[in-house]
Amino acid sequence: MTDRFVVFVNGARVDLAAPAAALDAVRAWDANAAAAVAQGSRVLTDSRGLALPPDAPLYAGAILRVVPARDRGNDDDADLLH
Amino acid sequence: MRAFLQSGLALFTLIWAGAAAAQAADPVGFVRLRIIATNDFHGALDPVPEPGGAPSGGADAMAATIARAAGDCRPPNCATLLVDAGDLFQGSAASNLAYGAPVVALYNRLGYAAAAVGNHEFDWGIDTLRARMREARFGILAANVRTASGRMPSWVRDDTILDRGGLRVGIIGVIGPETYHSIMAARVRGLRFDDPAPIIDSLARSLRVRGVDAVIVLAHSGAFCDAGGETGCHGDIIDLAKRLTEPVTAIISGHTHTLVDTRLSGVPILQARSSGRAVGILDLAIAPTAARDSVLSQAVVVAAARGDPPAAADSIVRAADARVATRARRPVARLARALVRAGDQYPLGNLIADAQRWAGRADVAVVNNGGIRQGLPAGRVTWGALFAVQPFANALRRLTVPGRALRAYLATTVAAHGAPRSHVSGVTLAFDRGGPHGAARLASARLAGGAELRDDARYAIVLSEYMATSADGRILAQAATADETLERDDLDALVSYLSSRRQPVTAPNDTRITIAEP
Repeated sequence: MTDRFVVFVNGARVDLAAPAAALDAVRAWDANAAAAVAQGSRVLTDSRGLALPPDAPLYAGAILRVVPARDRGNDDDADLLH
Repeated sequence: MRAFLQSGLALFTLIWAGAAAAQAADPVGFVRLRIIATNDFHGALDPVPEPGGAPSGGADAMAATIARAAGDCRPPNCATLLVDAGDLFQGSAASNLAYGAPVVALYNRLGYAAAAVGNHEFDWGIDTLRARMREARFGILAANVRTASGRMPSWVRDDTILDRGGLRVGIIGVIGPETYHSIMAARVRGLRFDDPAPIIDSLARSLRVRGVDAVIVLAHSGAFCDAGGETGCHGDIIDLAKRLTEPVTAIISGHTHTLVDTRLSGVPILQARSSGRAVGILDLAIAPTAARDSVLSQAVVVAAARGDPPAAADSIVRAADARVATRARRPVARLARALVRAGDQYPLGNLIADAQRWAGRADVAVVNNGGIRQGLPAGRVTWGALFAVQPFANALRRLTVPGRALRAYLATTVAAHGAPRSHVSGVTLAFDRGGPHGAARLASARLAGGAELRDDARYAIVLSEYMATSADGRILAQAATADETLERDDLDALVSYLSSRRQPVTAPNDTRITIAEP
């Protein structure tokens, strides 16, 4: 019998088979979001906003958030102002 | 002594003299309980701008003011109790990017005893709220939150009893049902906020049976009063207080970000603005008799004044700021003029609506005024300042809808309640008073080129996720033939739009919504 456990992705409850990594949880929640994480346009954090690698092992009750990778990109725009 | 002082340490000291006099006047043997109260901190680790003015409030000022209030109340004859009436979270990059964790750390360090849950505590979902509740060394109370079946969720606490200086103080926390629809629907799915009045009555009775000396209600439900906060008060917390049948000692309110310093049937109701800009102080003298009668010796709301905040609290703020500093300080644009939120239509709102329409390459965009949280200063604007304007990280949805459905949406959402509640882009709306009982009725909706919106055409509209999942938004979304979520959220749209404009940016001040009076 497979052990199953529950985590939360952006507030949604996700049921997973153990063992599972962070990206598995995102994939189970929203395949498009998982693709965005894999591609780097979105990143993962824990419930305190601390960065979480996609291959981080999960535990029951883990809280993940998928957020835009805001540190990338816009610096060129800022340079125009100086 | 009741007064509110706008700012300044000298004036603060003046009111403190009144507080000290009240202390000296306590009858011999009485124990004084000083309740120090805040509300609507909104993650304001740093000072926030007053409308069109200098920064004020923030964690340092609030912590220093709390420390002064507590320092004036020393054992054995005086005990303090620090409480908050909700909306600890939501507002600044330093707090939001850590989902409120620095605020809980700050409140733990300051020694808060209890808080009510506010509507913005739900902004990151129940999972994250529960994580913050687990970290908090104080109760975050929500006595009237229920599941759809009417049960109290297992993670909710309704009241707490605290011992202070030999006194037992019962605290009840509730959230105003009127705040429910200000929360994105998905965040509170499966929950409801029940009428708090009978619940407070029941808990107050129970607390008295359990032997408390005082019952304090923390209510995330607010009021509006005249400038001094004392007279002309109206609003949900006033209505709620009038319906209570059990005696309570005091009510600490929140949500409306106003100054409230009033009495209702002798019960003080205090509310100390928002963002750490003020602190409420309430002194009770409790008799050393079996009856334990309490006498209110003072209740004031004082402006928070900067001073020496407790070092440990200061270090939490500095660490949270440092974590986002690179991003928050990044310059994005220059503004030709300061942009303030004044009235129901203002250039900042037009600018944000334009940014969202631009981001979605849409015909129309509608932005709710409640989602515009701060103004902006003239000159250089940083990412952090823009974050404070649009802190919700709302996804943007692009809906393609029939003109008939769009017209119905604009008619009901924008001004149906008598005054514009939104800003629009790509369309100019003219309302008259031809609706039932003189209500605003949409007379014309002209698109950017001047043509009237056609019922049989299709249009693209950009809405935030919050608006798209509201009651009106869901009706519009059901009529959509295409519904996509944009790559950029609301803040990203504003940042990209501003940085792509010719500098300095001038916000559009054209009138886009008119309501003709008969």
